Amino acid sequence: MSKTSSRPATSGHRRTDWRASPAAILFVLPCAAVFAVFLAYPLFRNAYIALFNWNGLTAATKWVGLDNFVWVFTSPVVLDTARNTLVFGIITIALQLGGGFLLAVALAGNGRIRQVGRTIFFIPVVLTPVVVGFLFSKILEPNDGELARGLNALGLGALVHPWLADPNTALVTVSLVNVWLWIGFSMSVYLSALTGVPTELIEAAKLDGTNSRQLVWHVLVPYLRPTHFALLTLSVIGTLKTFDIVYVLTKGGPSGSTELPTTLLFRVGFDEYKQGRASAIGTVLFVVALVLTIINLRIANRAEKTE
Amino acid sequence: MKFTAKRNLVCAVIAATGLLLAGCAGGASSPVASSGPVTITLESWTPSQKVMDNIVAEFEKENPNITVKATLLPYADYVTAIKTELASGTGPDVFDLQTGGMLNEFAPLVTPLDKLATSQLGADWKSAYKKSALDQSSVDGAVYGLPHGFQPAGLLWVNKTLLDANGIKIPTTIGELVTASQKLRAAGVVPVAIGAKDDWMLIDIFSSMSNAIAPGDQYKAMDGKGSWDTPGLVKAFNEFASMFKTGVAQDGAAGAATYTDTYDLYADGKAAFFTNGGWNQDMFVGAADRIGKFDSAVTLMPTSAGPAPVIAGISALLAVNGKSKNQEAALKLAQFMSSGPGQQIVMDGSLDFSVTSTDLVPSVKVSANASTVRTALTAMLKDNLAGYREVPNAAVKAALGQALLKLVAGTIDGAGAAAEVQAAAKAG
Repeated sequence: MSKTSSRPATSGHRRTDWRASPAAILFVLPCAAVFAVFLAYPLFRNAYIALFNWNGLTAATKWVGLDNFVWVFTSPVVLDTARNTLVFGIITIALQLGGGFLLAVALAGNGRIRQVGRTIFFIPVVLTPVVVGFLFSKILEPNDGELARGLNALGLGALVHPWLADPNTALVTVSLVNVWLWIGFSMSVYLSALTGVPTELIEAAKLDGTNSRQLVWHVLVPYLRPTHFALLTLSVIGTLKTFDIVYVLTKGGPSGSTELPTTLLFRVGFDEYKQGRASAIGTVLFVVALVLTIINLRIANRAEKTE
Repeated sequence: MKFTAKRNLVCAVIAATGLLLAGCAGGASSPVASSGPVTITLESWTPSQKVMDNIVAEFEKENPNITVKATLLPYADYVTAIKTELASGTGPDVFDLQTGGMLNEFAPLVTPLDKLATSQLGADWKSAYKKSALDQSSVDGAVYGLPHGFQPAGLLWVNKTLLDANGIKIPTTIGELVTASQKLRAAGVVPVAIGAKDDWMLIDIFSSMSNAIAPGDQYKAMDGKGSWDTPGLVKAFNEFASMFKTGVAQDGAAGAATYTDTYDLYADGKAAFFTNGGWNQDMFVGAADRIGKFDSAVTLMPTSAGPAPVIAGISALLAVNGKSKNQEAALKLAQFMSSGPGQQIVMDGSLDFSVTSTDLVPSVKVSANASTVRTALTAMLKDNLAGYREVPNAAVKAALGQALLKLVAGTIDGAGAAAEVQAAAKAG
């Protein structure tokens, strides 16, 4: 009988008897220690701080129990950030994934033009979001920015608009800048996934008379489902974490129209010296990210099993 | 075998934990000998790197036993960094604080200077400073830092050349400002460049205006002796908001930062007016080639009640970290920068006003235009000063900033703004 397991292996999984493999524990220990110190501890500590009123500086704290969490779920300011995140997320994820996929399909393969195209679209990914934020705030400045000057020069001055200063357009504008920043990343992930598509599959589809649109929609899109889910998970987490590009472009304004949980967390913690509330926002954000990731993974696993 | 494996495992865990704790152990600094070379650290958002390098060089020349490592960060990043460092028990030996809410929050972590300064600088060390400057560096009567730089805020910079070219006189009332703005827009000139993305800028403008429209109401409210929702302050909030509805402020003001969106509009001669404080005089040193192409002036903010008085405050105060192991050296550097030779170096770079009793003036040669502006600012400080600049309570300051941002965006009115700030003041 095997020392490692008394049950037959199922689906490739095998229970490991840790008692017979202390070396395995030693190999895992450093990683576990890093996880415990730099991830688990700060998480629990943050949740603990959320139970107090604290200015984030001095030793004086006041126990308030769940008051800060109640504030998170009932404050109109926080609820507005949830709505903004939903809009920001839908625009960003849809355009990033959809656009990234189409760019990958268009630019896959050899050829100088395709190579240059891939490079151009990937350049924003390596830029610092803070730099991109400053760049676009200058470009979009309606009095003297490059976009305004260009439109005026073309006789299209009527189209000049304070995109970042208008509460009705600011969130969409910030979302589009974010898409510009990250679409190259989605494109590169899809490009990599496309290299794994069997050529026989493509050839067989072509022999069956499928055109390019049908090939993309009925062959490539279903085949790349694992990539979709992986990018979706990353995009959801990325959306929930977004801070720098929004802070530089609008600081969450005008009038809170682009305020995300992260920018609100920063303002509450550093401008208002209410660390307890800031920690409560952070804790809830983490739980939301965790739940969404689990849901996404479960859907992905279920989809994989039904194939 | 089992026992040996278990023992080995236990030993390995203990060793790993030990290594981990050693690696994670805080870098507690060892005590520094009272004599002998010391290295002290300074952090701030001001002055410029070039000026700071000069200060450090001169200080180290005078104090060969002390090495200074100075770090400058943009203001918003600086506040985040210093708060994080101090909360974790580290932080520089000397650092800058703003008076008002920031000082009140940081005071428990800073060494009160009365005893230390008396033993090091003498019993009459306070006589070196203007009383108003020391008052702004104090909490409950105790001095927590040495002040440096003094400037008025809530005023308007004027491109006289553009006004003259368009036949416009400097306005003194809000009505005249609106008329002037419409004329300037028709001529393709940006009327008033306001960095309305910056809550601090909006607070400066509003604080000046409110002291003309409802004299004293805001100070009473800030000192806890009044309320933010008086009829006068509601009127002030509405008049402030009107600048963004009547074409006074530039298009897209809500998305513009003072540094450097509106700063550039003014420096490049595209805006007729620019809201900024007296510290903008550093344009005559740092952007002389750009600003030298036109004539600048300064004027009081126009309101329905006439020109608004300015508010004024110290640029910052240099505090000694309560946990610093080099308190004496740290105070030496702070004193050098605030009332010693360093003050002159800073003043020559930023054209600040003096916080010391001796009333230093800049020694650097500046243009005739710069001199005219400085004379006008001096007159404002003497004849049109409403009071201190910084809001004492951090939460109220944040609420006031948010209310003003909403007024700019047009999502609330004056009564709504007043109610929001009053709610924050009541919450304490």
